[in-house]
Amino acid sequence: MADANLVSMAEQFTGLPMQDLIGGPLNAAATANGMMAVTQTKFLLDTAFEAKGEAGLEIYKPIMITMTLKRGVLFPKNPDVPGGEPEIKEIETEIGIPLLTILPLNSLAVDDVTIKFDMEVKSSYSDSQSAKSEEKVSKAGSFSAKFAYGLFSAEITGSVSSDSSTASSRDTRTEKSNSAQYSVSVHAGQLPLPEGVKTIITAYANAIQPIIMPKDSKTP
Amino acid sequence: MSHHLSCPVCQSQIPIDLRLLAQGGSFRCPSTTCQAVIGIGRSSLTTFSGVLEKYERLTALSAASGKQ
Repeated sequence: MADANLVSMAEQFTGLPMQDLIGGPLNAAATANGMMAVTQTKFLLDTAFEAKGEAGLEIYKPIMITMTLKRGVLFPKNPDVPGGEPEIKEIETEIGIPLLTILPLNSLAVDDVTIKFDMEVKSSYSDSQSAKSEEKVSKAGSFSAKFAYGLFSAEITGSVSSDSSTASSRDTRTEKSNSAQYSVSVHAGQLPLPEGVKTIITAYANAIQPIIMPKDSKTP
Repeated sequence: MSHHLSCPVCQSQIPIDLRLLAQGGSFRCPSTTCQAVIGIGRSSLTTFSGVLEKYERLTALSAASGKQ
């Protein structure tokens, strides 16, 4: 009897809009990522590139910035003495690099979406019945008789009583409770740089390396 | 705003602060054998600080949309 009164757990979970609960935040994250990508691309073209040419036929040229590089270089104290004692001199070099290689661009995105859905269905049924029956009937009666005959006399007395009472009570109690929690956590962070940007940075870093010119080459 | 740049001499990762870099600060390569120092040239400081300011606004906007 108690099972029929309890809430069916399966019934409580069927009909939940799981597609909306899970897919909604994911779609929102994807949309946010798309918006961020468009914004970043626009930012990149506006700030790190210089547009030249007519409208619709623009050529984007990267804006270059100058960086300074200071490092110690060993020079011989006396250049005329081969294998002589060296000394360190700090040489400053200016390097032209594209602005976009300095900024951590194109790496902002929603990188973590956590969907937490807790649903708790509590069902408890309690039925307490108490029946109490009490009957109380009260009756009372008395009599007395007295008679005398010559020297003899007699007296008879008597009494009768009975109690009866009736009482009944009934108590029925049913308890049900439902609770649900739905929390979505979205975090936007920096993603690793794309391989293309890494390649550009590496190419520029390699191009900065000094090279040894052959002795017979002419200075440009 | 911390970031890393590849050292042009030894390819080590140089930790840099973009704001300090935009203010003319320079950063030394952590490699004990390299110790190269990089910074932004004076002629590019204005350009770089302007772009950095826009970049910070974009980052704040992205963070706000991510929280939503």
